Amino acid sequence: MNWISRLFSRRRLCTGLSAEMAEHLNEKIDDLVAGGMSREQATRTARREFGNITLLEEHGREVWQWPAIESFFADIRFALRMLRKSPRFTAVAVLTLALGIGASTAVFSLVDAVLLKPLPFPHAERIVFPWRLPKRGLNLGFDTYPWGRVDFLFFSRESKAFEALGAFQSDSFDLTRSGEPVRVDGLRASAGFFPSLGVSPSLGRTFTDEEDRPGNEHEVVLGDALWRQRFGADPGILGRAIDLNGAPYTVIGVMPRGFAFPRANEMPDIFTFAPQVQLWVPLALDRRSTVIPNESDELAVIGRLKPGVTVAQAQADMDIMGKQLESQRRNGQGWFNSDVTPLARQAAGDTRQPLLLILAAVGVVLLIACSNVASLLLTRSLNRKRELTVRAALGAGASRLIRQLLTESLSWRASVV
Amino acid sequence: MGNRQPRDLFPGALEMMILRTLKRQPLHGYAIAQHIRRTSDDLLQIEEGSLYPALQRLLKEACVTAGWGVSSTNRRVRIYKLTPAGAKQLERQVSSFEQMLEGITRVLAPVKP
Repeated sequence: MNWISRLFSRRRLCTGLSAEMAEHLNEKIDDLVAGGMSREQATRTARREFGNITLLEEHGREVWQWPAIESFFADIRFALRMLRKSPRFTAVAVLTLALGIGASTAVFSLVDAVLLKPLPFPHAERIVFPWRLPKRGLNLGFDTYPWGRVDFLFFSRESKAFEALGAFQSDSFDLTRSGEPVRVDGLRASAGFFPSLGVSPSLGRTFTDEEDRPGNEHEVVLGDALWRQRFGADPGILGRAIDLNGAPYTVIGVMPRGFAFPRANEMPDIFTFAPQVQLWVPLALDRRSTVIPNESDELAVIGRLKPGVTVAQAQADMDIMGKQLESQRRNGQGWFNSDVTPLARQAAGDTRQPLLLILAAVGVVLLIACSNVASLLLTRSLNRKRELTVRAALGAGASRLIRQLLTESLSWRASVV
Repeated sequence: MGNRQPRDLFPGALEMMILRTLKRQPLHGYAIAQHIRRTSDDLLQIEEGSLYPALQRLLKEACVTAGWGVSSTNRRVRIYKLTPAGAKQLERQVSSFEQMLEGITRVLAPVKP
């Protein structure tokens, strides 16, 4: 017999059980009476020797059931009846819990989205931003300070901790020779920029080191949005020439949908990045290692750590290089401090602290709600002492009673959700 | 509460005795209880009712079959009958029980000086 047919036939199998047991008792009573006992005494003796009829019958039935499941459903039915019978208690408890759970769920989903969701980059934990800090004790009104061209070139030559290091700088361009002239926000990025992020274009390629040199920088990588809006998502866009600020650029790649790094709200205030970057062109820094007078490069730097290198090690690496830079410059004292910030922290930005605070606050609210409901339950359980005593007297074991009460709590907790 | 501790000897002992009883002839519940009580000379204090859960377990394991019938005292009763599977089960249980008993007896035997 397989379990499905057993499920349906078990009622038939044990319907006879109570009749059978009753008949057993009758037969025994008759026997005892025939042996000379009074009927009353015989009944008592027979019952005593037989045992707890209800309980035994239940055990007999349970052989065919999944007792845990069926008594669980029975408990739920009972719990729902109890809920209906005391609507005021139910309303208070359900409302209290609903508020507690609702608030914490809402805040947690926010925290999850902002702090816990993995960032859409491969091995995002290795992506860092070595921000430059202003000279200690000097209040510039900014927490960070841009790197200069020569500093960045020094780092990318000397660094031991980074697999790739890229500099980038916001810019905007007049896009002409393809429909209406339009002004788009873009980014000038060095060759190490895309390898640092680890994102490959959905079409074509990104810049090579060769293309990231002054005079060669005539390639452009388009953002997905721009590609769709201006070029009708043309798959044959690669190799086409467009004009940016009047200079010809060749399209060499299209980035995947949703990629618009960097977004202004994830970057420090001192940098003025666009809310949505539409295209990327090579930064093409002058590789001469001397400072050019009146140079005004304001670079942000992104790096990908070598596998196994920690943020602390990268920080130490940056500190050493900062010392070297200081010793090379006159008046360089204290100007080359850095703070290596992991991408996750950077992306969460200033929201991290307040979010965690709110999460803690909501957690406390939930705790309060729970303790309120617990004391409500405690009060009610005093009134139910009678009921439980009767249940115990009828043969319910301690574990069975506990299971019933737990199921009750669970079922109206479920009704909260 | 507190009446849950089994008054039979060990798990499976009751089933084994039921199977042995049914090996002689098909019987109904009361007759099985009577037979066990008589042959054990009232040495075993078995709650008679615990026979029924045990019978249900045996039914489920197909060691016995049951059919409604009329007893010698003209009662409508369910008569249980041993199946071949039940007979085999009995053999297995008895031999493993004897082995266990033998082991226990040896351990309990008085130490020879």
